[in-house]
This record gives sequence, structure tokens and C-alpha cells, in this order.
Amino acid sequence: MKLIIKIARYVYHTIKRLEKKRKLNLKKETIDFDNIQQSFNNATRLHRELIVVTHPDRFTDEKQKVFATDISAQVNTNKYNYKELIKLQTIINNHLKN
Amino acid sequence: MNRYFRFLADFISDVLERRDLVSRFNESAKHAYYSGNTNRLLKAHTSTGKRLYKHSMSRLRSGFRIRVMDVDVLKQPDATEMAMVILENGAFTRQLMAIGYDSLEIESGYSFYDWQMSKYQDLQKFALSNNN
Repeated sequence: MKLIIKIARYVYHTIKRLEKKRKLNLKKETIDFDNIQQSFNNATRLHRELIVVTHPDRFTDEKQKVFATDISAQVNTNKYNYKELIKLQTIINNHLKN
Repeated sequence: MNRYFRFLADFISDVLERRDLVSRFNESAKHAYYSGNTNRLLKAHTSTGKRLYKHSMSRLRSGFRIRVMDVDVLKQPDATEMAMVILENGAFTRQLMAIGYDSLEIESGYSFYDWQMSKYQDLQKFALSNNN
């Protein structure tokens, strides 16, 4: 009986300690779940749009072509990362305006 | 005796960590669906997994299963797209593998697809590249 009480007490305190640790770890969390959820639905669509806009064959100017090659490689690397694609989209838009 | 206590503590820790990860995933999925950012409601849970997909850190019940709630037949390209979002996310996949998952499974009403996590995230390769 004593042993059971000892084990129960140990389990209870371990759970409490781990919960505390977990709450601390949550603050340090780096995984962006919202980005994952948005990527499920929107990443491929945005990737398709960006890859059309930044295709190197669309540009005749050598400087623009180099930029397009570089940025389209980045777009392909981040094909399934919506947040990164949004960042790239703003870079592309700014560049095309200029 | 201490050994058994340590084993128990490790077991509880793993269970809590997994439960925590799955609940955070589900919470974000629900939030994204309610706010209209996605048009599919997803729900994750732990399943038995596939023995063929084992790696050095696999544990019992090693499947991370995502259920698409509002679709009966999920096409292969759609499922692959969803799986790649997770598998291409290095941090998330590594965390899943570290807490003992080895198979990623996506299911809807009548369709089921699975992927081997270690095929996409080579942990040893990552460690070597970090050392370099």
C-alpha cells in the first residue's frame, strides 16, 4: 500500500513538473502552426502565381534575367511555405514596380 | 527502483509532449478554419503507424495521422500537397521524429495515404551538416 502511495505521489509530482516545463518551453516555441495551416491551402496557388511572374524567359534585360533566375529558385525552394512566399511576393512586387 | 521511476517519468513526459503537440496542431487548424484562412477542417491524432517506416527514435504508436473532416474522397495530389507542407517543414518534422513519430498519415472518409518521415528528414545528415 505504501509503495502504491509512493508511486502515485511520484507520478503526480512528475506530471506537475513536466507541465511546468512544458509551459516554459511553449514560450520558446519556434514552430509556426498558423503558417502550416495556411500553407495547406494557399502555398501551391501562390507558388504557381509567382513562378509565372518570375520566369526568366519573360525578361530580355540581363540584370532582370539574373534577378528572375535567383528569385524563381527561391520561390521553388519555398514551394510549401506560405509565409516565405508572401515575403518573396513583396520583394517581387517592389522590384517590378521599379 | 529508480530505474523504473525514470522509465515512468520518461513515458509520462513523452505522452504529455505528444498530446501537447497534437492539441496545438488541432487548435491552430480549428482557428484557421473558423477564420476562413483554410477551407478544410483538419484533425490530428496518434495512430499505430507503420512498422516498415521505423527509425532509431520511433516509439509505440508512431503514426501522426491527419484527418480531413469535410472531404469524403481526398485525391492523391491534394494529399501529397498537404504532406509536403509538413515534410518540407524541417523543424516540425524533426520535432515529430524526436518525440517518436515515424509515419505521416493523411486520411479522409474513404481515402488513406502515408509517408515515411525519415525519407524526407535525415536526422543524421542534419547532425553532420550542423557539425560542419
